[in-house]
Amino acid sequence: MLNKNDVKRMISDIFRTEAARRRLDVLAVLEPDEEEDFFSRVPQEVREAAFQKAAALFNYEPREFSSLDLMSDYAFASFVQKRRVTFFTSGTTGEPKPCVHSLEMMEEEAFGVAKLFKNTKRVVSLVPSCHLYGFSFTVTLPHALRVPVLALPALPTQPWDKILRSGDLIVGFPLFWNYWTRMKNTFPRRVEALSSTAPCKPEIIQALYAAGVSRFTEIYGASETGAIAYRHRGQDPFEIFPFWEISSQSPVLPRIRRLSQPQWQELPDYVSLQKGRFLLPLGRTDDCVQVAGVNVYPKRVEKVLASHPAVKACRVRLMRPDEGERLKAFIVLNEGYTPEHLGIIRTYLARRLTVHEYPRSFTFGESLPVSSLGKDADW
Amino acid sequence: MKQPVIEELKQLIARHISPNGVDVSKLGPEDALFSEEGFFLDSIDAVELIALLQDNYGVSIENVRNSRAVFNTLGSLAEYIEKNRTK
Repeated sequence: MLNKNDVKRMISDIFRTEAARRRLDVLAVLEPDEEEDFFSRVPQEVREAAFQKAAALFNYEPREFSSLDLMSDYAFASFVQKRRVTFFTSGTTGEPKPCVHSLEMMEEEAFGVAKLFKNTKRVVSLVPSCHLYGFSFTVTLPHALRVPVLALPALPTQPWDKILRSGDLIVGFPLFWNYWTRMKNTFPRRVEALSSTAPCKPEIIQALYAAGVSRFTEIYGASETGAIAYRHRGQDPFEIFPFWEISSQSPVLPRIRRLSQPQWQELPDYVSLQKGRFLLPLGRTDDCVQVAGVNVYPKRVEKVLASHPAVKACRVRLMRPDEGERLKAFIVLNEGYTPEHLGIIRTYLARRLTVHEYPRSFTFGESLPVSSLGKDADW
Repeated sequence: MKQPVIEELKQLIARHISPNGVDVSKLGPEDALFSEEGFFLDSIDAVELIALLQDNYGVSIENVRNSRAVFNTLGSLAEYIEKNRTK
């Protein structure tokens, strides 16, 4: 399910995403991967954070390494011994919550999902392998399928007609597929596409089929559970993978359990359960929203923003579709501060938030916007 | 010849990408695209910028590693567009 080269790629992805997240090398995630070169030139701040994250992922005590090879050897040895990897999801509080995926769970999912992709000859990865979606579909699934992986940056303007070939399964995400259709890219024959981390708009899925994708698969899942269900057309209900048992005691919040595991888990969404093994998500059970395919929690961003001395009160929410697809913030300033102080607030936020969490728009007012009924209102 | 492209780029960035709070009108060719002191674009914006270059100028960035210097400043990007635009 995992070899040393996979571990090396996962660690390399940790370094690149950290560099981009901290804005110390914004273009890092858009470059083709030449791993050792990046490891040696990355800033110390990124290096330290990456050492911590890799240790958490592969379950060893954090330590420093002088080379990517040494680090990969150590992490791989830890995986062989511990037989698990641990992903983290931040919730409303912002405190990272560990999500352990054992080797048994990985094999169950990979071989279960592999049945859908029997004709795949190569996986083309456009997602970081250090996050669960990338790990499941570009690390363990290729092992189950016994196919190679081509890892590329998620740059929609690459020469896809030269890169792709028959039998490829492209592992992408909704924002990338949006760009694919915008760039009017087409697919060679017998190339499939995959998407997850956020809903893919039905019109985008339709456009991908019009562009020649032989089959599009959208995966529904969560960091806590892994892949839960799939569908091939927008608007269709998702079909639950066979390796899940589902309890329909609550019709809108059913519990699920992996066949290999004893514990039941809740779904991240309220759902409409249909014909026993099909579901349609109705909305999140928490305040999570997606920005560029990544889960973010507006309440956590509010908490960070509210901690700045200039901020008396604030609200953070997702932009309306006509405004964009990022977060926006409304700020009531403390006395002595004016909108001219936005620069220091921005700098404060940039140090504490990921690029996905960072609000794209700031509005100032004398009081928080509320409706005539006194509830939070949009602005 | 470069000035109109610079102004066009600033307007494109302000309209499609730039965070509220960055006064794009005060920025010029020497300002960095990705630094706090400049346009303060992030990795999500970088992809949108690349898409805008293709949409508006027919300029295709196929490999970011080979194009890093292009994205240093507004001026370096404008110069690249002038040399390579097909629209």
